[in-house]
Amino acid sequence: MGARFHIFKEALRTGVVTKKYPFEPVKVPEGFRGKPSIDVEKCIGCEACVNVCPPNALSAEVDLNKSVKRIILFLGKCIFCGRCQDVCPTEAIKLTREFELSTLTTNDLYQVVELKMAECEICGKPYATIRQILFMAKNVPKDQRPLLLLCSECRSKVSAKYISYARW
Amino acid sequence: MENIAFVLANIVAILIIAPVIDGIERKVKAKLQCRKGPPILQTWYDLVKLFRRPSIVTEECSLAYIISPYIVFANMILALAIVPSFTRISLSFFGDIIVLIYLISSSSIFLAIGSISSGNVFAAIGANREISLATLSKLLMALVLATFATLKRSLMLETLFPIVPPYTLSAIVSIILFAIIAYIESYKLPFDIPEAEPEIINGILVEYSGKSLGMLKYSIYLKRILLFTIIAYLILPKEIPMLLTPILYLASIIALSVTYVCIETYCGRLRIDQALKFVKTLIPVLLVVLIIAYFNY
Amino acid sequence: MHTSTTKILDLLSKYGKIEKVHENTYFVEVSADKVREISEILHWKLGGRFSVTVGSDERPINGYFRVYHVFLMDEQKLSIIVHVKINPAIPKLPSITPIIPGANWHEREVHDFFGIVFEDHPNLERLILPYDWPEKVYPLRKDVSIRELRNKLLKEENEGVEKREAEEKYVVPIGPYHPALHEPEYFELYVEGEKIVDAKYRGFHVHRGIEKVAEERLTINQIPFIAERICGICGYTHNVAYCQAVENAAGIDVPLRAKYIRSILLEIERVHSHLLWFGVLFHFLGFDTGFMMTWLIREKIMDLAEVLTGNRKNYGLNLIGGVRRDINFEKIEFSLKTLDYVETKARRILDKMLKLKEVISRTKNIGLLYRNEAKKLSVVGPVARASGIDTDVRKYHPYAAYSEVEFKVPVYDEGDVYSRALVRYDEIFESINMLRQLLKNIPKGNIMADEIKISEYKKGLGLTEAPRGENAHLVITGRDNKIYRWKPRAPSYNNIPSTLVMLKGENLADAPAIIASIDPCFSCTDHLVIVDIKGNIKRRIRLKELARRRHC
Repeated sequence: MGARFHIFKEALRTGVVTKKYPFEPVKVPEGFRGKPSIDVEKCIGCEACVNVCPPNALSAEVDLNKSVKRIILFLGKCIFCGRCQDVCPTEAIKLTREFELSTLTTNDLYQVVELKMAECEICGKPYATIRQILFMAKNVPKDQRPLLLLCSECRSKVSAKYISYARW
Repeated sequence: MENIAFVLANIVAILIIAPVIDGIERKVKAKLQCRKGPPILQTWYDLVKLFRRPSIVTEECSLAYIISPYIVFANMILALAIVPSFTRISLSFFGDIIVLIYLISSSSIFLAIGSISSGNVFAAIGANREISLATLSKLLMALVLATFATLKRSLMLETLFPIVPPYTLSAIVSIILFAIIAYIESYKLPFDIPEAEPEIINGILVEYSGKSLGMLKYSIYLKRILLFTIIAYLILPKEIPMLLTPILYLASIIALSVTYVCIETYCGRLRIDQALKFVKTLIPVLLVVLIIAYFNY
Repeated sequence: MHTSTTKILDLLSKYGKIEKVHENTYFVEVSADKVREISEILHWKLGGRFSVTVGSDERPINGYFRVYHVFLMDEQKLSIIVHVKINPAIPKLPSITPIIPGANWHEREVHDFFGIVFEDHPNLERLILPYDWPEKVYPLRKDVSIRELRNKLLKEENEGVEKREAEEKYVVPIGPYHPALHEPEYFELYVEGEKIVDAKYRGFHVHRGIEKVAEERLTINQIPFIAERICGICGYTHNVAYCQAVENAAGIDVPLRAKYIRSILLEIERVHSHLLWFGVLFHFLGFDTGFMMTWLIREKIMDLAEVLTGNRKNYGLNLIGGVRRDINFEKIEFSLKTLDYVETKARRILDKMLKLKEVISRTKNIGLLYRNEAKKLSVVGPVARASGIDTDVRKYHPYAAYSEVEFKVPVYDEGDVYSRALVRYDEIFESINMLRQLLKNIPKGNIMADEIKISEYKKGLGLTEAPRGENAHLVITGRDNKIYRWKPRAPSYNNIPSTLVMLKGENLADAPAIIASIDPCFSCTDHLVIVDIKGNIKRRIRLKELARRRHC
């Protein structure tokens, strides 16, 4: 009987622990991994996040007619691991502390970032977003920056010509 | 004529109150487990939901399976008509104490028959356990009621209530024993066996759904109220004015159910053979008390 | 009888070439006819134990199939992996099940997925693949891709009728038993009255094909995230075991601070898992108050995990070479406070609950598993420790930071449900003790290794002690940032066959408690089977047939 009485005393000492959610908000700690969100101003469309995402919740598509690249984040597949946040070079995608994601329309779960792409000077194909080129330009020596305005195939052809000229 | 009106009023009042008492039990149990618990009217909402749904029957069922919920429910209502509750007036007649035992036993038996006829193996195991436990506990109940009958030398419930005064040893002991038997009969832990959920997935109730399940659950709540009523009236003195009786009755029912819940919360479930062993030890005690009662001690 | 490491290696070198893959882990290639002999020596004569069997399709690399048998020698702190190459034209190998009954399921799985026939195996039936899977299609072979498997299955729909014979001495074979927590184990309990006379098991209803997905579609650093989701309670141990296997294979040195952080989270996971188990046990014994109150204590641990990693369960903390998130002073303070609370509450509540008469009378001497049965079936974890076998990966094959902490391994001899409860009870307090040591002594440093170079076709073994027992992951690295073969083996795989031994002769009412006492780790579906007593044929019900019912 003594054991039961102790348990009873413990229950009285603890009191009622039920939280009143959803009638009162729940505080989540700092560092909680909630829904990821892309800051449209900062994203350069480099697709690092698309590469690293384990469940392929982030994807990219290129619209050749309009010369835009779209980075699409689908929260339905997201596992909230935060790898996208780890690899983003401009800190554009970050995990917020929101976790209440239920909705009746699937469209709410998509975030799409549309970025204008530059067209290759020689062949006219859209090959990279403008912001990505500007970002790369910082790391490329001044005399080689014009090469950034070409798509990768044309760039290789031109570089090859330069190298062959240099040999001369 | 007015008697019938009072009796009907009694029955209706109990029908309304029984799920509320169960709701109070659930709330108290939750608070003892450090949780908030469902609202007190939750049992009513559950019953209403069940009554609105259709009953689905198995392919192998028989007539007994379909009509047994109705029979059990009817038995309970009749038993409630015989005992006094909110008012002291009830359908009393010579030998009604025997009818009472019959009605309570037959509800258990029909419950078991109904679930065996459903063709489900878990229901069969549950019915097996139900009958083993019920046979012994009905025997005990018959012995206790026989003790009461011997003390007052009468077979009418009206003269039995209240059993005290005179405060004889046998009277007090038999009231305590009746309280224990009522605990066993009302499927409270540790005697929750025929209905054990994790073990045999709700045993006797597993194949019932919708209206039939609603009626069976209602009957279980009514049985508890019936047993509490008997205990309350064994103690309530006769000299209480008519207007005070309902209030005192309700208060004593609530007090009894809260006490039982406090005990139930801190017990685990017994296995059927352990439960039967416990119940068998009570039989000699009852026989002794019966003999003492015969000699008016 | 303690045989030294050198003696063991000498003995093994007589059977084949020994290759030291990483510290304390040796691969030995033997010929097919010597497999049984060497297994018997390692498991029964030298005091080791069988852990897992892995099959692998290495035809693109060297033209053979290969079967690896992993043995762990606790006393000498060694892992010995015996492997045999198999000719793809005639894929067969002598089975070791006659000597080590615990290898039964392991060999059946290799047979299911690779088509290798194990000679003299007592019942080489399908284990994981369903009855209506097309013949001669072996999913884990390298010549089948996920897309092809999917197309094949969508086209063919087999009826899949399985004949089972009910044995005559049993009165009524009562079919599927669903312990009402809706876990997808399908135990067939043959009952007479209330006594169980026989039990059969059919599982793997939710096999998710993680190994194939990891081989084809995921990169090396993405697999930790899927490894975490293998289990809903002890996922982090799978994560760590995989990372360790790759780090061992590639020879990556993980910094000490990262190892401490990994150990801290592993122990936090152990505490919450054991508290969860106590709640489940009390629920099965009908004592719901116990269930509510142990989970109340558990909530604080989950909150702690959330503060440390950002999520209550999927910690997402590991990458190959270290951890992603650091721990600071405030978090350490918060952890120590939480641990104080948990320890006081657990001592007050759990202690008293284990002394209740109903709990003791329904768990003592119930579900007995004697020591020699336990050794035959190669059980692991608390089940083994409650049957008198002293085994704990943390002590005998130390990993992460476990060589730096002091702790005891609780071992009991009775082998019943009550001793398994006592083992887990002791382990909770040992874990809290360990956590305090780890939190107070955590060294400064990096949390991620500097040099991470992973070459191709390197083998590695990762072992961890999950709350349920030992986790063993075998990894063969591949090219292009992918893994060639990954075999995660959860501890319940070795433990479930022991329930069939424990259930015989017990009461039906005790069956859920017995099954729960091995702490099985499944996810959630149910399966319905009808056993027709007259014809003795079982039929699987499809959903549209369930819909044909009379309404009343």
